[in-house]
Amino acid sequence: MSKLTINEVDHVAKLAKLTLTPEETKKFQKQLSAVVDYFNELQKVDTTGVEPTSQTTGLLNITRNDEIDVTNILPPKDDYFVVSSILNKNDK
Amino acid sequence: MINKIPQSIEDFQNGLKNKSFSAVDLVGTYLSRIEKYDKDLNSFITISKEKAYEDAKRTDRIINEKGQKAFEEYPLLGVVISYKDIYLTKGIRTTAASKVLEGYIPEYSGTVVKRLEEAGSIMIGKTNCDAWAHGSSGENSDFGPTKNPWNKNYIPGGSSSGSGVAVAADFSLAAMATDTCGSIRLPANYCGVVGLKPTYGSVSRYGVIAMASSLDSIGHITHTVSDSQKIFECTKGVDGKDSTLKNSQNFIVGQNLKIGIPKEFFEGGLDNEVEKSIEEARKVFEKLNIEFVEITLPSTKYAISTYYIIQPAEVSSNLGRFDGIRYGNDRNFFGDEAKRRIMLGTFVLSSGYYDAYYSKAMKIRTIIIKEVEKAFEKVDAIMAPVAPTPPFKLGEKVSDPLKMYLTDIFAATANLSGIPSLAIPSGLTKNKLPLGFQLMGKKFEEDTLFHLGKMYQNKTNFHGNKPQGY
Repeated sequence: MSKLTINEVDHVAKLAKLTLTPEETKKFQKQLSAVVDYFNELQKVDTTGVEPTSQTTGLLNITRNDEIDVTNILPPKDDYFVVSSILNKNDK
Repeated sequence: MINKIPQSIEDFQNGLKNKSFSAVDLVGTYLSRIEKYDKDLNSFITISKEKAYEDAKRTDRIINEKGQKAFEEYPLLGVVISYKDIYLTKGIRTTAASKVLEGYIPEYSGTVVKRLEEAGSIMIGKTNCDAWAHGSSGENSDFGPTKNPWNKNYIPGGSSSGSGVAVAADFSLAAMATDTCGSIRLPANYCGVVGLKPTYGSVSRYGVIAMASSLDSIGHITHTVSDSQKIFECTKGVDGKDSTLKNSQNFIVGQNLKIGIPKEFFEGGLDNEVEKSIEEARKVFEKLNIEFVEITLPSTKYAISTYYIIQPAEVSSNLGRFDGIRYGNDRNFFGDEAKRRIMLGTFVLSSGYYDAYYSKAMKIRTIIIKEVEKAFEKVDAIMAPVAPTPPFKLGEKVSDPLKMYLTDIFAATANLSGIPSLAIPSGLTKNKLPLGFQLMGKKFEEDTLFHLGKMYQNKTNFHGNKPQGY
Protein backbone atom coordinates (compact mmCIF):
# COMPACT_ATOMS: atom_id res chain seq x y z
CA MET A 1 0.00 0.00 0.00
CA SER A 2 1.43 3.35 -0.97
CA LYS A 3 1.07 5.69 1.91
CA LEU A 4 1.50 9.42 2.23
CA THR A 5 3.62 10.32 5.25
CA ILE A 6 2.64 13.10 7.66
CA ASN A 7 5.51 15.12 6.19
CA GLU A 8 4.19 14.66 2.66
CA VAL A 9 0.69 15.79 3.68
CA ASP A 10 2.17 18.87 5.36
CA HIS A 11 4.32 19.58 2.30
CA VAL A 12 1.36 19.30 -0.10
CA ALA A 13 -0.77 21.51 2.19
CA LYS A 14 2.00 24.09 2.18
CA LEU A 15 2.22 24.02 -1.64
CA ALA A 16 -1.56 24.53 -1.79
CA LYS A 17 -1.55 27.30 0.81
CA LEU A 18 -3.78 25.38 3.20
CA THR A 19 -3.28 25.57 6.94
CA LEU A 20 -4.08 22.27 8.64
CA THR A 21 -4.43 21.42 12.32
CA PRO A 22 -2.48 18.33 13.50
CA GLU A 23 -5.81 16.44 13.70
CA GLU A 24 -6.66 17.39 10.12
CA THR A 25 -3.23 16.32 8.90
CA LYS A 26 -3.75 12.92 10.50
CA LYS A 27 -7.27 12.52 9.11
CA PHE A 28 -6.27 13.57 5.59
CA GLN A 29 -3.16 11.36 5.68
CA LYS A 30 -5.38 8.32 6.16
CA GLN A 31 -8.05 9.35 3.65
CA LEU A 32 -5.69 10.52 0.91
CA SER A 33 -3.49 7.42 1.32
CA ALA A 34 -6.50 5.18 0.63
CA VAL A 35 -7.32 7.12 -2.55
CA VAL A 36 -3.72 7.24 -3.81
CA ASP A 37 -3.41 3.52 -3.10
CA TYR A 38 -6.48 2.90 -5.25
CA PHE A 39 -4.80 4.81 -8.11
CA ASN A 40 -2.08 2.18 -8.26
CA GLU A 41 -4.34 -0.02 -10.39
CA LEU A 42 -3.38 2.32 -13.24
CA GLN A 43 0.19 1.07 -13.20
CA LYS A 44 -1.14 -2.16 -14.78
CA VAL A 45 -2.18 -0.33 -17.94
CA ASP A 46 0.36 -0.30 -20.76
CA THR A 47 0.53 3.28 -22.03
CA THR A 48 3.66 2.96 -24.18
CA GLY A 49 3.34 5.25 -27.18
CA VAL A 50 -0.05 6.65 -26.09
CA GLU A 51 -0.51 10.40 -26.43
CA PRO A 52 -1.97 12.16 -23.38
CA THR A 53 -5.41 13.85 -23.63
CA SER A 54 -5.80 17.22 -21.99
CA GLN A 55 -9.02 18.26 -23.75
CA THR A 56 -11.67 16.58 -25.88
CA THR A 57 -12.79 19.24 -28.36
CA GLY A 58 -9.90 19.03 -30.83
CA LEU A 59 -10.14 22.80 -31.21
CA LEU A 60 -6.93 24.82 -31.33
CA ASN A 61 -6.16 28.52 -31.09
CA ILE A 62 -9.68 29.89 -30.91
CA THR A 63 -9.47 33.65 -31.16
CA ARG A 64 -11.80 36.54 -31.66
CA ASN A 65 -11.24 39.96 -33.17
CA ASP A 66 -10.15 42.62 -30.75
CA GLU A 67 -12.85 45.20 -30.53
CA ILE A 68 -12.30 48.50 -28.79
CA ASP A 69 -15.27 49.76 -26.84
CA VAL A 70 -15.12 53.43 -27.82
CA THR A 71 -18.05 54.47 -25.67
CA ASN A 72 -15.85 54.94 -22.61
CA ILE A 73 -12.87 56.79 -24.10
CA LEU A 74 -12.28 60.42 -24.85
CA PRO A 75 -11.81 61.31 -28.54
CA PRO A 76 -8.28 60.51 -29.85
CA LYS A 77 -5.82 63.34 -30.30
CA ASP A 78 -2.92 63.04 -32.80
CA ASP A 79 -3.17 59.19 -32.84
CA TYR A 80 -3.07 59.05 -29.05
CA PHE A 81 -5.82 58.19 -26.64
CA VAL A 82 -6.32 60.87 -24.07
CA VAL A 83 -7.23 59.79 -20.56
CA SER A 84 -7.81 61.81 -17.45
CA SER A 85 -4.71 62.28 -15.32
CA ILE A 86 -4.45 60.07 -12.29
CA LEU A 87 -1.64 61.92 -10.49
CA ASN A 88 -1.72 65.53 -9.42
CA LYS A 89 1.23 67.82 -10.11
CA ASN A 90 1.49 68.47 -6.39
CA ASP A 91 1.77 64.76 -5.55
CA LYS A 92 5.23 63.93 -4.33
CA MET B 1 -52.55 28.90 -5.47
CA ILE B 2 -52.55 26.34 -8.26
CA ASN B 3 -53.65 22.86 -7.17
CA LYS B 4 -52.17 20.83 -9.97
CA ILE B 5 -48.64 21.92 -10.81
CA PRO B 6 -47.96 21.60 -14.55
CA GLN B 7 -45.30 18.95 -15.24
CA SER B 8 -44.03 20.06 -18.64
CA ILE B 9 -43.26 23.25 -20.55
CA GLU B 10 -46.20 22.44 -22.81
CA ASP B 11 -48.70 22.16 -19.91
CA PHE B 12 -47.17 25.20 -18.33
CA GLN B 13 -47.53 27.36 -21.41
CA ASN B 14 -50.98 25.99 -22.29
CA GLY B 15 -52.15 27.05 -18.84
CA LEU B 16 -50.73 30.52 -19.41
CA LYS B 17 -52.25 30.73 -22.91
CA ASN B 18 -55.69 29.62 -21.71
CA LYS B 19 -55.46 31.91 -18.71
CA SER B 20 -56.00 28.95 -16.36
CA PHE B 21 -53.38 30.69 -14.26
CA SER B 22 -51.03 33.65 -14.58
CA ALA B 23 -47.24 33.64 -14.27
CA VAL B 24 -47.69 35.50 -10.96
CA ASP B 25 -49.95 32.65 -9.73
CA LEU B 26 -47.30 30.12 -10.73
CA VAL B 27 -44.46 31.94 -9.00
CA GLY B 28 -46.64 32.40 -5.90
CA THR B 29 -47.46 28.69 -5.85
CA TYR B 30 -43.84 27.62 -6.17
CA LEU B 31 -42.72 30.10 -3.50
CA SER B 32 -45.33 28.92 -1.02
CA ARG B 33 -44.37 25.29 -1.70
CA ILE B 34 -40.71 26.14 -1.08
CA GLU B 35 -41.64 27.92 2.14
CA LYS B 36 -43.76 24.99 3.29
CA TYR B 37 -41.54 22.05 2.36
CA ASP B 38 -37.97 23.21 1.87
CA LYS B 39 -37.19 23.70 5.57
CA ASP B 40 -36.89 19.91 5.65
CA LEU B 41 -35.42 19.26 2.23
CA ASN B 42 -32.92 22.17 2.16
CA SER B 43 -32.76 22.33 -1.61
CA PHE B 44 -32.38 26.13 -1.86
CA ILE B 45 -29.61 28.41 -0.59
CA THR B 46 -31.11 31.68 -1.84
CA ILE B 47 -34.65 32.49 -3.02
CA SER B 48 -34.89 35.34 -5.53
CA LYS B 49 -38.48 36.22 -4.62
CA GLU B 50 -38.47 39.85 -5.68
CA LYS B 51 -36.92 39.17 -9.06
CA ALA B 52 -39.21 36.18 -9.63
CA TYR B 53 -42.34 38.31 -9.09
CA GLU B 54 -40.89 41.07 -11.26
CA ASP B 55 -40.22 38.59 -14.09
CA ALA B 56 -43.65 37.00 -13.62
CA LYS B 57 -45.39 40.36 -13.96
CA ARG B 58 -43.36 41.03 -17.08
CA THR B 59 -44.39 37.63 -18.45
CA ASP B 60 -48.09 38.30 -17.84
CA ARG B 61 -47.74 41.69 -19.51
CA ILE B 62 -46.08 40.15 -22.58
CA ILE B 63 -48.83 37.51 -22.85
CA ASN B 64 -51.53 40.16 -22.56
CA GLU B 65 -49.89 42.28 -25.23
CA LYS B 66 -48.85 39.63 -27.73
CA GLY B 67 -51.16 36.70 -27.05
CA GLN B 68 -50.16 33.40 -28.70
CA LYS B 69 -47.33 35.09 -30.58
CA ALA B 70 -45.49 35.73 -27.34
CA PHE B 71 -44.69 32.02 -27.07
CA GLU B 72 -43.13 31.95 -30.54
CA GLU B 73 -40.94 34.90 -29.68
CA TYR B 74 -39.97 33.57 -26.23
CA PRO B 75 -39.75 29.76 -26.36
CA LEU B 76 -39.44 29.42 -22.58
CA LEU B 77 -41.90 32.17 -21.69
CA GLY B 78 -43.01 31.83 -18.06
CA VAL B 79 -40.97 28.69 -17.39
CA VAL B 80 -39.83 28.80 -13.77
CA ILE B 81 -36.20 27.72 -13.40
CA SER B 82 -33.89 27.32 -10.42
CA TYR B 83 -30.10 27.49 -10.77
CA LYS B 84 -27.42 25.48 -9.04
CA ASP B 85 -25.61 27.99 -6.87
CA ILE B 86 -22.47 27.93 -9.00
CA TYR B 87 -24.15 29.82 -11.87
CA LEU B 88 -23.25 33.49 -11.53
CA THR B 89 -26.42 35.57 -11.33
CA LYS B 90 -26.07 39.33 -11.48
CA GLY B 91 -27.09 40.94 -8.20
CA ILE B 92 -28.10 37.62 -6.62
CA ARG B 93 -25.80 35.95 -4.11
CA THR B 94 -23.78 33.04 -5.54
CA THR B 95 -21.97 30.88 -2.99
CA ALA B 96 -20.92 27.62 -4.71
CA ALA B 97 -22.37 26.24 -1.44
CA SER B 98 -19.08 27.21 0.18
CA LYS B 99 -18.48 29.49 3.18
CA VAL B 100 -15.63 31.00 1.15
CA LEU B 101 -18.20 32.77 -1.04
CA GLU B 102 -20.84 33.19 1.65
CA GLY B 103 -21.49 36.83 0.80
CA TYR B 104 -20.43 36.97 -2.86
CA ILE B 105 -22.73 38.90 -5.21
CA PRO B 106 -21.73 38.59 -8.90
CA GLU B 107 -21.33 41.59 -11.18
CA TYR B 108 -22.70 39.73 -14.18
CA SER B 109 -24.75 36.71 -15.24
CA GLY B 110 -23.22 33.91 -17.30
CA THR B 111 -24.16 33.05 -20.88
CA VAL B 112 -26.66 30.32 -19.98
CA VAL B 113 -28.50 32.45 -17.41
CA LYS B 114 -28.69 35.27 -19.95
CA ARG B 115 -29.90 33.01 -22.76
CA LEU B 116 -32.59 31.44 -20.61
CA GLU B 117 -33.79 34.85 -19.47
CA GLU B 118 -33.85 36.09 -23.04
CA ALA B 119 -35.97 33.04 -23.88
CA GLY B 120 -38.54 34.29 -21.36
CA SER B 121 -37.89 32.08 -18.32
CA ILE B 122 -38.23 33.15 -14.69
CA MET B 123 -35.49 32.59 -12.08
CA ILE B 124 -36.85 31.52 -8.69
CA GLY B 125 -33.68 30.85 -6.72
CA LYS B 126 -30.29 29.25 -6.28
CA THR B 127 -30.10 25.61 -5.34
CA ASN B 128 -27.96 23.83 -2.81
CA CYS B 129 -25.16 21.52 -3.94
CA ASP B 130 -21.95 19.94 -2.71
CA ALA B 131 -19.57 22.85 -2.13
CA TRP B 132 -17.74 23.71 -5.38
CA ALA B 133 -19.69 20.80 -6.96
CA HIS B 134 -17.42 18.32 -5.14
CA GLY B 135 -19.48 15.30 -4.22
CA SER B 136 -21.93 12.59 -5.13
CA SER B 137 -24.46 12.95 -2.31
CA GLY B 138 -25.07 16.63 -1.58
CA GLU B 139 -23.61 16.18 1.90
CA ASN B 140 -20.52 18.30 1.22
CA SER B 141 -22.52 21.54 1.17
CA ASP B 142 -21.38 24.10 3.74
CA PHE B 143 -25.07 25.02 3.99
CA GLY B 144 -26.17 21.59 5.21
CA PRO B 145 -27.14 18.46 3.26
CA THR B 146 -30.16 18.29 0.95
CA LYS B 147 -32.63 15.47 1.64
CA ASN B 148 -34.28 13.17 -0.86
CA PRO B 149 -38.02 13.94 -1.12
CA TRP B 150 -38.71 10.24 -1.74
CA ASN B 151 -37.35 9.46 1.71
CA LYS B 152 -35.72 12.07 3.89
CA ASN B 153 -33.29 9.57 5.40
CA TYR B 154 -31.67 9.17 1.99
CA ILE B 155 -29.34 11.37 -0.03
CA PRO B 156 -30.71 12.96 -3.23
CA GLY B 157 -27.48 12.46 -5.18
CA GLY B 158 -24.93 15.13 -5.96
CA SER B 159 -23.37 17.34 -6.61
CA SER B 160 -26.45 19.13 -8.06
CA SER B 161 -28.53 17.88 -5.12
CA GLY B 162 -30.81 20.90 -4.79
CA SER B 163 -31.49 21.01 -8.54
CA GLY B 164 -32.68 17.38 -8.53
CA VAL B 165 -34.88 17.95 -5.50
CA ALA B 166 -36.28 21.27 -6.76
CA VAL B 167 -37.67 19.53 -9.85
CA ALA B 168 -38.81 16.34 -8.08
CA ALA B 169 -40.60 18.25 -5.31
CA ASP B 170 -42.13 20.84 -7.69
CA PHE B 171 -40.21 23.87 -6.46
CA SER B 172 -39.45 24.84 -10.06
CA LEU B 173 -40.33 23.28 -13.42
CA ALA B 174 -36.69 22.86 -14.42
CA ALA B 175 -33.32 23.33 -12.77
CA MET B 176 -29.93 24.18 -14.21
CA ALA B 177 -27.00 22.12 -13.01
CA THR B 178 -23.45 21.04 -13.89
CA ASP B 179 -21.95 17.59 -14.49
CA THR B 180 -18.21 17.04 -14.07
CA CYS B 181 -18.64 13.35 -13.28
CA GLY B 182 -22.32 12.53 -12.88
CA SER B 183 -23.36 15.62 -10.93
CA ILE B 184 -26.48 16.07 -13.09
CA ARG B 185 -27.22 12.42 -13.85
CA LEU B 186 -26.85 11.18 -10.27
CA PRO B 187 -29.34 13.55 -8.61
CA ALA B 188 -31.72 13.12 -11.56
CA ASN B 189 -31.44 9.36 -11.17
CA TYR B 190 -31.86 9.44 -7.37
CA CYS B 191 -34.80 11.87 -7.48
CA GLY B 192 -36.73 10.23 -10.35
CA VAL B 193 -36.33 13.00 -12.92
CA VAL B 194 -34.53 13.53 -16.26
CA GLY B 195 -30.96 14.86 -16.37
CA LEU B 196 -28.93 15.91 -19.41
CA LYS B 197 -25.14 16.10 -19.45
CA PRO B 198 -24.50 17.66 -22.88
CA THR B 199 -21.45 17.16 -25.09
CA TYR B 200 -18.38 18.96 -23.72
CA GLY B 201 -18.16 22.06 -25.91
CA SER B 202 -21.85 22.44 -26.69
CA VAL B 203 -22.98 24.72 -23.83
CA SER B 204 -21.00 27.71 -22.56
CA ARG B 205 -19.25 27.54 -19.20
CA TYR B 206 -18.90 31.33 -19.14
CA GLY B 207 -20.16 32.60 -15.79
CA VAL B 208 -20.26 29.20 -14.13
CA ILE B 209 -17.74 28.70 -11.30
CA ALA B 210 -15.13 26.30 -12.67
CA MET B 211 -14.50 22.95 -11.05
CA ALA B 212 -12.45 20.82 -13.49
CA SER B 213 -12.17 22.70 -16.73
CA SER B 214 -11.63 19.81 -19.15
CA LEU B 215 -14.66 17.95 -17.76
CA ASP B 216 -17.32 20.50 -16.65
CA SER B 217 -20.58 20.22 -18.64
CA ILE B 218 -23.45 22.65 -18.34
CA GLY B 219 -26.83 20.93 -18.38
CA HIS B 220 -30.18 20.68 -16.69
CA ILE B 221 -32.82 18.64 -14.90
CA THR B 222 -36.46 18.36 -16.01
CA HIS B 223 -39.46 16.02 -15.70
CA THR B 224 -39.49 15.03 -19.35
CA VAL B 225 -37.02 14.39 -22.16
CA SER B 226 -39.02 16.73 -24.36
CA ASP B 227 -38.43 19.63 -21.92
CA SER B 228 -34.77 18.72 -21.70
CA GLN B 229 -34.50 19.16 -25.46
CA LYS B 230 -36.36 22.50 -25.42
CA ILE B 231 -33.99 23.93 -22.83
CA PHE B 232 -30.90 22.56 -24.60
CA GLU B 233 -32.01 24.30 -27.81
CA CYS B 234 -31.84 27.61 -25.89
CA THR B 235 -28.58 27.07 -24.02
CA LYS B 236 -26.29 25.52 -26.64
CA GLY B 237 -23.97 27.19 -29.13
CA VAL B 238 -20.99 29.48 -29.51
CA ASP B 239 -21.01 32.65 -27.39
CA GLY B 240 -17.59 34.16 -28.14
CA LYS B 241 -16.63 33.78 -24.48
CA ASP B 242 -15.97 30.09 -23.91
CA SER B 243 -13.34 29.02 -26.46
CA THR B 244 -14.21 25.31 -26.21
CA LEU B 245 -17.58 25.77 -27.93
CA LYS B 246 -18.66 24.46 -31.31
CA ASN B 247 -22.01 24.95 -33.00
CA SER B 248 -23.76 21.73 -33.90
CA GLN B 249 -26.41 21.10 -36.50
CA ASN B 250 -29.72 19.49 -35.64
CA PHE B 251 -30.23 16.36 -37.63
CA ILE B 252 -32.96 13.89 -38.46
CA VAL B 253 -32.42 10.77 -36.40
CA GLY B 254 -32.18 7.74 -38.68
CA GLN B 255 -34.16 4.50 -38.68
CA ASN B 256 -32.96 1.17 -37.29
CA LEU B 257 -31.24 2.55 -34.25
CA LYS B 258 -28.89 0.33 -32.31
CA ILE B 259 -28.14 0.54 -28.61
CA GLY B 260 -24.96 -0.96 -27.18
CA ILE B 261 -24.80 -2.64 -23.80
CA PRO B 262 -21.27 -2.41 -22.37
CA LYS B 263 -20.81 -5.70 -20.58
CA GLU B 264 -18.22 -4.28 -18.17
CA PHE B 265 -20.88 -2.02 -16.60
CA PHE B 266 -22.91 -5.04 -15.55
CA GLU B 267 -20.13 -7.14 -14.05
CA GLY B 268 -19.97 -7.45 -10.28
CA GLY B 269 -21.17 -4.93 -7.75
CA LEU B 270 -24.27 -3.80 -9.62
CA ASP B 271 -27.37 -3.76 -7.42
CA ASN B 272 -30.05 -6.30 -8.42
CA GLU B 273 -32.90 -3.82 -8.58
CA VAL B 274 -30.83 -1.43 -10.73
CA GLU B 275 -29.94 -4.25 -13.11
CA LYS B 276 -33.52 -5.52 -13.31
CA SER B 277 -34.88 -2.05 -14.02
CA ILE B 278 -32.43 -1.61 -16.91
CA GLU B 279 -33.43 -5.03 -18.24
CA GLU B 280 -37.09 -3.88 -18.21
CA ALA B 281 -36.16 -0.64 -19.98
CA ARG B 282 -34.33 -2.67 -22.63
CA LYS B 283 -37.51 -4.66 -23.26
CA VAL B 284 -39.47 -1.43 -23.78
CA PHE B 285 -36.96 -0.36 -26.43
CA GLU B 286 -36.92 -3.80 -28.05
CA LYS B 287 -40.69 -3.66 -28.49
CA LEU B 288 -40.10 -0.40 -30.35
CA ASN B 289 -37.76 -2.25 -32.73
CA ILE B 290 -34.56 -0.92 -31.28
CA GLU B 291 -31.80 -3.48 -31.69
CA PHE B 292 -29.43 -4.23 -28.80
CA VAL B 293 -25.79 -5.21 -29.28
CA GLU B 294 -23.27 -6.23 -26.67
CA ILE B 295 -20.22 -3.97 -26.76
CA THR B 296 -17.01 -3.88 -24.78
CA LEU B 297 -15.31 -0.95 -23.08
CA PRO B 298 -12.53 -2.83 -21.27
CA SER B 299 -10.65 0.20 -19.91
CA THR B 300 -13.69 1.84 -18.33
CA LYS B 301 -12.78 0.01 -15.14
CA TYR B 302 -9.91 2.48 -14.87
CA ALA B 303 -12.16 5.49 -15.49
CA ILE B 304 -12.70 6.35 -11.84
CA SER B 305 -8.98 6.34 -10.95
CA THR B 306 -8.24 8.32 -14.10
CA TYR B 307 -10.98 10.81 -13.25
CA TYR B 308 -9.93 11.22 -9.60
CA ILE B 309 -6.43 12.20 -10.75
CA ILE B 310 -7.34 14.58 -13.58
CA GLN B 311 -10.21 16.28 -11.78
CA PRO B 312 -8.43 17.17 -8.50
CA ALA B 313 -5.44 18.37 -10.53
CA GLU B 314 -7.72 20.83 -12.34
CA VAL B 315 -9.57 21.65 -9.09
CA SER B 316 -6.34 22.54 -7.31
CA SER B 317 -5.60 25.00 -10.07
CA ASN B 318 -9.11 26.49 -10.34
CA LEU B 319 -9.48 26.95 -6.58
CA GLY B 320 -6.08 28.65 -6.42
CA ARG B 321 -7.79 31.95 -7.20
CA PHE B 322 -9.72 31.87 -3.93
CA ASP B 323 -7.12 33.56 -1.79
CA GLY B 324 -9.35 35.78 0.34
CA ILE B 325 -8.22 38.88 -1.53
CA ARG B 326 -10.16 38.89 -4.77
CA TYR B 327 -13.32 37.11 -3.63
CA GLY B 328 -14.85 36.29 -0.29
CA ASN B 329 -13.18 34.67 2.69
CA ASP B 330 -9.70 33.17 2.97
CA ARG B 331 -8.66 29.56 2.40
CA ASN B 332 -9.37 28.50 5.98
CA PHE B 333 -13.04 28.62 5.00
CA PHE B 334 -12.71 25.67 2.60
CA GLY B 335 -14.56 22.57 3.81
CA ASP B 336 -12.95 19.15 4.15
CA GLU B 337 -13.78 17.87 0.67
CA ALA B 338 -12.39 20.96 -1.07
CA LYS B 339 -9.23 20.64 1.02
CA ARG B 340 -8.92 16.95 0.13
CA ARG B 341 -9.29 17.61 -3.59
CA ILE B 342 -6.92 20.59 -3.58
CA MET B 343 -4.30 18.46 -1.80
CA LEU B 344 -4.87 15.41 -3.97
CA GLY B 345 -4.52 17.57 -7.09
CA THR B 346 -1.44 19.31 -5.77
CA PHE B 347 0.04 15.89 -4.93
CA VAL B 348 -0.51 14.29 -8.36
CA LEU B 349 0.96 17.38 -10.04
CA SER B 350 3.91 17.69 -7.69
CA SER B 351 7.50 16.97 -8.62
CA GLY B 352 8.24 13.26 -8.41
CA TYR B 353 4.61 12.17 -8.78
CA TYR B 354 3.54 13.91 -12.01
CA ASP B 355 4.59 11.06 -14.31
CA ALA B 356 3.26 8.25 -12.13
CA TYR B 357 -0.17 9.82 -11.67
CA TYR B 358 -1.14 12.85 -13.76
CA SER B 359 0.69 12.01 -16.96
CA LYS B 360 -0.38 8.34 -16.71
CA ALA B 361 -4.02 9.34 -16.20
CA MET B 362 -3.99 11.63 -19.24
CA LYS B 363 -2.73 8.72 -21.36
CA ILE B 364 -5.34 6.30 -20.03
CA ARG B 365 -7.95 8.96 -20.83
CA THR B 366 -6.82 8.63 -24.45
CA ILE B 367 -7.28 4.85 -24.32
CA ILE B 368 -10.79 5.20 -22.85
CA ILE B 369 -11.76 7.72 -25.55
CA LYS B 370 -10.51 5.41 -28.32
CA GLU B 371 -12.58 2.53 -26.94
CA VAL B 372 -15.68 4.71 -26.78
CA GLU B 373 -15.13 5.90 -30.37
CA LYS B 374 -14.73 2.33 -31.52
CA ALA B 375 -17.94 1.28 -29.78
CA PHE B 376 -19.85 4.07 -31.52
CA GLU B 377 -18.83 2.70 -34.92
CA LYS B 378 -21.35 -0.07 -34.26
CA VAL B 379 -24.08 1.63 -32.21
CA ASP B 380 -26.00 4.91 -31.98
CA ALA B 381 -26.24 4.99 -28.20
CA ILE B 382 -24.89 3.17 -25.17
CA MET B 383 -27.21 2.16 -22.33
CA ALA B 384 -25.80 1.83 -18.82
CA PRO B 385 -26.66 2.27 -15.16
CA VAL B 386 -26.12 5.76 -13.72
CA ALA B 387 -24.91 4.48 -10.35
CA PRO B 388 -24.16 1.04 -8.94
CA THR B 389 -26.92 1.24 -6.29
CA PRO B 390 -30.20 3.06 -5.60
CA PRO B 391 -29.98 6.15 -3.30
CA PHE B 392 -28.03 5.45 -0.10
CA LYS B 393 -28.60 6.73 3.43
CA LEU B 394 -27.41 10.11 4.68
CA GLY B 395 -24.08 9.67 6.47
CA GLU B 396 -23.42 6.25 4.95
CA LYS B 397 -20.31 7.24 3.00
CA VAL B 398 -19.25 10.61 4.45
CA SER B 399 -16.30 9.38 6.47
CA ASP B 400 -14.91 7.27 3.63
CA PRO B 401 -14.05 9.50 0.64
CA LEU B 402 -12.90 6.56 -1.51
CA LYS B 403 -16.26 4.81 -1.07
CA MET B 404 -18.04 8.05 -1.99
CA TYR B 405 -15.84 8.49 -5.10
CA LEU B 406 -16.78 5.00 -6.32
CA THR B 407 -20.43 6.15 -6.58
CA ASP B 408 -19.30 7.93 -9.77
CA ILE B 409 -17.94 4.79 -11.41
CA PHE B 410 -20.49 4.66 -14.28
CA ALA B 411 -20.59 8.41 -14.77
CA ALA B 412 -16.89 8.98 -15.49
CA THR B 413 -16.79 7.56 -19.04
CA ALA B 414 -19.01 10.29 -20.51
CA ASN B 415 -17.04 13.12 -18.89
CA LEU B 416 -13.59 11.76 -19.72
CA SER B 417 -14.57 11.29 -23.37
CA GLY B 418 -16.71 14.44 -23.67
CA ILE B 419 -19.83 12.64 -24.97
CA PRO B 420 -23.43 13.51 -24.02
CA SER B 421 -25.50 11.40 -21.65
CA LEU B 422 -29.16 11.49 -20.71
CA ALA B 423 -30.41 10.02 -17.41
CA ILE B 424 -34.01 8.79 -17.50
CA PRO B 425 -36.16 7.43 -14.63
CA SER B 426 -37.24 3.80 -15.02
CA GLY B 427 -39.27 2.96 -11.92
CA LEU B 428 -38.97 2.51 -8.18
CA THR B 429 -37.30 0.03 -5.84
CA LYS B 430 -39.45 -2.03 -3.50
CA ASN B 431 -38.64 0.62 -0.87
CA LYS B 432 -40.08 3.29 -3.18
CA LEU B 433 -36.80 4.92 -4.17
CA PRO B 434 -36.16 6.02 -7.77
CA LEU B 435 -34.33 3.91 -10.34
CA GLY B 436 -33.06 4.92 -13.76
CA PHE B 437 -30.57 4.44 -16.57
CA GLN B 438 -28.38 6.56 -18.80
CA LEU B 439 -28.12 6.74 -22.58
CA MET B 440 -24.76 7.96 -23.82
CA GLY B 441 -24.42 9.26 -27.36
CA LYS B 442 -21.89 10.38 -29.92
CA LYS B 443 -20.48 13.87 -29.52
CA PHE B 444 -22.96 16.57 -30.57
CA GLU B 445 -25.63 13.94 -31.22
CA GLU B 446 -27.92 14.82 -28.33
CA ASP B 447 -30.80 14.58 -30.83
CA THR B 448 -30.42 10.77 -30.94
CA LEU B 449 -30.67 10.64 -27.14
CA PHE B 450 -33.73 12.91 -27.12
CA HIS B 451 -35.34 10.76 -29.82
CA LEU B 452 -34.78 7.54 -27.86
CA GLY B 453 -35.73 9.16 -24.55
CA LYS B 454 -39.01 10.47 -25.95
CA MET B 455 -39.81 7.06 -27.42
CA TYR B 456 -39.29 5.55 -23.97
CA GLN B 457 -41.32 8.17 -22.13
CA ASN B 458 -44.19 7.83 -24.63
CA LYS B 459 -44.42 4.14 -23.74
CA THR B 460 -43.89 4.45 -19.97
CA ASN B 461 -44.98 6.79 -17.22
CA PHE B 462 -42.15 6.48 -14.72
CA HIS B 463 -41.52 10.21 -15.08
CA GLY B 464 -45.06 10.68 -13.72
CA ASN B 465 -44.12 9.05 -10.38
CA LYS B 466 -44.16 11.64 -7.61
CA PRO B 467 -42.76 11.55 -4.07
CA GLN B 468 -45.60 11.44 -1.53
CA GLY B 469 -46.38 14.22 0.90
CA TYR B 470 -45.55 17.24 -1.24
